[in-house]
Order: sequence, then structure tokens, then C-alpha cells
Amino acid sequence: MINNKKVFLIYIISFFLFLTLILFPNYNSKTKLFTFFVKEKIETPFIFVGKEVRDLLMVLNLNFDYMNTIKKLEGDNNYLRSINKYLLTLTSKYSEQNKIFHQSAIAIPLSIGVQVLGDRNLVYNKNFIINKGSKNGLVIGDYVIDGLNIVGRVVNINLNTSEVVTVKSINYGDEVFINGKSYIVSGTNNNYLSFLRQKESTEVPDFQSGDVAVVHLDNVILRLGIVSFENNQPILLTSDVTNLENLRAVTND
Amino acid sequence: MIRLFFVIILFLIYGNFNFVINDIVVFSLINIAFFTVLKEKNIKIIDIFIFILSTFVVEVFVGLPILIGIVVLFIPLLLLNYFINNYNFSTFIKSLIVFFLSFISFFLFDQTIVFRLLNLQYFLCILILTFIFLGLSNYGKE
Repeated sequence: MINNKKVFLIYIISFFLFLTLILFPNYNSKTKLFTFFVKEKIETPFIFVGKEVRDLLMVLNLNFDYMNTIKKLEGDNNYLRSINKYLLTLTSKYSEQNKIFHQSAIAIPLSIGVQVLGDRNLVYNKNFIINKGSKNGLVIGDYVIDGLNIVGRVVNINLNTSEVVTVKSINYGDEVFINGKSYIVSGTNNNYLSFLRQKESTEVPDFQSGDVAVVHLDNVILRLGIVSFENNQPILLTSDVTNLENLRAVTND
Repeated sequence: MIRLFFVIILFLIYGNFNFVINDIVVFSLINIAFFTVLKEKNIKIIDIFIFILSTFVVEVFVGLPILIGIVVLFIPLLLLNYFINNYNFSTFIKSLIVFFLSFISFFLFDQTIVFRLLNLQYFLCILILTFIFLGLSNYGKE
């Protein structure tokens, strides 16, 4: 069957390596994160060349079309400028009102932009890898957000890459505030989170469908989901995150 | 060497296109791993190396414990290798065995693949490729 003893030697070495990685999961995740770091570094020149070639082809092919498009866009641009002015006026009014009611401007979290490496569709598991790590100021537990919606939290960290567990994952857990009361929620591998209990209390939760669950950081409020009911059991519906293109990691918590 | 090259290319491709390509990448890596162990009776060191590399890449992408592929699959695959190569099956049968084994493994990672296979695009691609293969093998010399 196999004449080569070296094959079995390699198998035995692999077996003990596997045992080591199972017994020390930290090394397992570090290896994974380092592999994605290597992948990103290797693919960067290819992506750059690909973009350059695509741009060059577009320039060669579409120059004439652009001339017509530019004329059309100029008209659209003027129209959008007028709308923008109107929206700016509305926004300034809203900001002033917000200052009057809350004594402060709208708080925006201190965050850094992150890019997803590997699978963006959460097909095989509900975690993903981002291209920022401890070198960029991330720590375990930091929130990853899309706008002010929570997408997930950092669970493993390496120098240049991190692993994020999403709110859809069964491994996600958090403390949220609904109508000023604190609750513990847990992920379910579906588009909703389940309520475990009200923190430090045995009372029956009294929230209603449509209440918003938020997470308080220092001076920022992040949105986790909306309360809903399924079979008379309260659940927390998360936003259906399918676009992981413009994510940010909050670093000031 | 060609398999090594493919593993590296697939490693780089994963995540840069849509999820259909991601599926194909994972499926191809599983195919390479199984083919490497099942292709001939005597397994060489380079084959083991490619098997470990391709399973490692799948494990990293899918989120499995690292090296579980070689530890769990290697001995059953050796037994299957013994079975296949001693019965001297044709290349066509061997390819089918590798394909279905890979498909079952892939199904364990992502059960929704069956529903997606029923998608018309996948189904048409499989049908077209099958008929091209049958046509060329029967009438290719004419």
C-alpha cells in the first residue's frame, strides 16, 4: 500500500501538531490570522495590477462615452447641489435642536476603517477576518460597526489581523439597554438574538415590539437591534447585514 | 507542481470575487486533496505535502481546527486508495469517486449547496459540461 515510512512519520508529526493546536486554541487562531495576513500581503500587488489594468482598459474604451456622460452629469450635479443645500439647512436645524435638547452635539465613535479578508458572505461560519490588528489599536472586545449598527466584536487579535464574531453567530453575547434597563442577549446563528435574562433581576421583561436595543460606550450609543416576538418569546432582530464593505472598528471603548 | 501552483492561486482568489467563486475555490481545494491521495498506489512525500497544504487552506477558510483534515481523513483515504487502485478502476470511475467524495465533504461544510445546485445556472453548467464530455469521448475522433 505505502512503501514510504516517511509518510507515516509525517502523519505522526501532524497528529501531535493537531493535538497541540487543539489543546492551545490561541495558537490555532493565531495561525489562522497569520495565514490571512500572508494572503493579504501576497494578493496586494495582484489586486493593484488588476485595478490598474481595469482602469487602463476603461480609459481606452470609454473616453468618448465619458464626454457625453460628463455633460449629463453636470446637469445632475447642479440638481444635486440644490438638494444638498436644502438638506444642509435641514441638518443644521436638526443639530441645533439636538444641542438644545441634549446639551451636546451628536456623538460619533472614534473608529478606524477595516476591510474584510476572505469570505464576506458568512457562508461557512458567522465569523470573518479584518485587516486591522493590535498594531492599529484594536483590542479584544472592540465593536465593529456599519454606520451606528453593531456588526460584531473582535474575539481574536494578531498584530495585523483580527477575527470578528458577528451578531448572527451563536458565540456572540452582549449586554444591551432597552428603555433604560439592562439585558443579556446571545446570538443564535440566525438573524436574531435571544434574550437570556434581565441583568441583576428576576423580573419579567416588559418591553414591547419595536423597542430599540442599544449598547452604551463612553459617550456613544450603538444600535444592536429591534425587539420583536416569535411564539410569544421576545427576540432581538438584527439588521440583515449583507454588505461588509464599509465597516469600522470602534477603538474608544 | 501544477497542483501546488493551483493551491496557491486558489488561496489568493478566495474572497476576492463573489460567493459562487468562493464555493468553487473550496470545492477545488477539496478535490485536489482527495485526488492527491487517491491517484496512485504509492504515495510520495510531495503528495502528502500537497494534501496537508490544500486541507490546511480549506481549514483556514472554512474555520475548522487546523490539521484536522490529515488526522481524520488520511487513514480512511489510504484504505480507499488500496481499494480503488487494487481493483484497477478506469480513470473515469476514479474521477467520479473523487468528485462525489469531495461533494460529500463540501456538503458537510455548507448544506445549502444542494439548494443552490438546483439553481438553473449551476444545473445548466453541469449539464453542458457533461454533454460536452460525452460528445467528445464518443465522437471526438470523427
